[in-house]
Amino acid sequence: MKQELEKYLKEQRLKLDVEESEPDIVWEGIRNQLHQNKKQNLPQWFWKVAAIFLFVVSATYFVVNETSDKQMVIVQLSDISEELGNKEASLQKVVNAKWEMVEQELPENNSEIQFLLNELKSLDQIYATYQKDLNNTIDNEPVIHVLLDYYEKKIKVLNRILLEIEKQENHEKTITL
Amino acid sequence: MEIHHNDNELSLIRLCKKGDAKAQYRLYKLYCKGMFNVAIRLTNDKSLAEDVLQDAFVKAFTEIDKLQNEKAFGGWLKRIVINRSIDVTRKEKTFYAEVESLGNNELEIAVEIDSEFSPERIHHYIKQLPDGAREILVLRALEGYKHAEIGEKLGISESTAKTQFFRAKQLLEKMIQDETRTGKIFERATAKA
Repeated sequence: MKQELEKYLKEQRLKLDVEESEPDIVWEGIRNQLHQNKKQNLPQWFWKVAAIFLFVVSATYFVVNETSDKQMVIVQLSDISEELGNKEASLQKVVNAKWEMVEQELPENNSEIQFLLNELKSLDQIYATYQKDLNNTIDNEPVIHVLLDYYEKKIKVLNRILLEIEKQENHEKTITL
Repeated sequence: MEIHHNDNELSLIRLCKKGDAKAQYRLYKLYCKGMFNVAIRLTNDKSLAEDVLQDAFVKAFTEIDKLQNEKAFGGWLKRIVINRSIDVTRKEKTFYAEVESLGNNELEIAVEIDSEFSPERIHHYIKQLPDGAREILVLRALEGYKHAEIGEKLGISESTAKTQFFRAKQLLEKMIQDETRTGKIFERATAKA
């Protein structure tokens, strides 16, 4: 019986698959190539994990770096030399002793003394700035000089405050008498 | 090729997405014969068809995670096989003659064969067809491509695809008639496999 060719081909489509390849040889080739590709192309999740890891490491480095800047070890004059350390310690001792005296007798509402106290604050700010410079440059002679000078200036200001206190006390005594 | 799905095949595809080598082998075994026959009808060369088969499965297994509709695996794989087969035949410089277009009336002449004729012999005669005509016949009559799609894939006009398809059918009919009449199986001298 005659049949239209296209219809025949459509109906017999599966029966036309009559040839066999060498399935195991072809599979060996597929397996080897997949294995190679696997070595070359790492899976997508690997790159995602690597990217996250890099991000975490960078972020941690940034945070630690920022924090360490803030917690930077302050270089003291004693770190540079023992002689400078001793000098700073003795000046610091004088400053502390004078400050204790000032604190004990500090009067209220004295504009002159208030002005001098503000001077002390300014000196402290200047000291902090030079302390940073010392951290960056370490053995920097002009900076060392300014730092020692700070103590001397601070002692002078404290002496003036004590003098003012004394003046005020004398004045009060005179008024009482 | 009809593509049947069952839960077993779908679970194999899912395992292949996870890179399971055993599942890849089982899926390969399921499809290798059908895909090899598609490739050999298009390339007419056993060695080339095996290369196509290998490349197509490697591509499929490498990109299987991009396949969203798992039921479409067979069709997707077959498209890879067909595209790869066309690529390799292009490298072999298959010549598609821009033949004189036939009118619609001529193209509608029915080409008939004996319905009892062996499919195995039809497969043999398809492979005896000239390269360009064979590819067009396979794509149109066996793989269901439209003439416009064939034209696009092979870089020829739609009317050339139609005319070549008609001539391929006529050549096929003639070879079958000759065998029926003489009892001799036609072998083209240039047939590669």
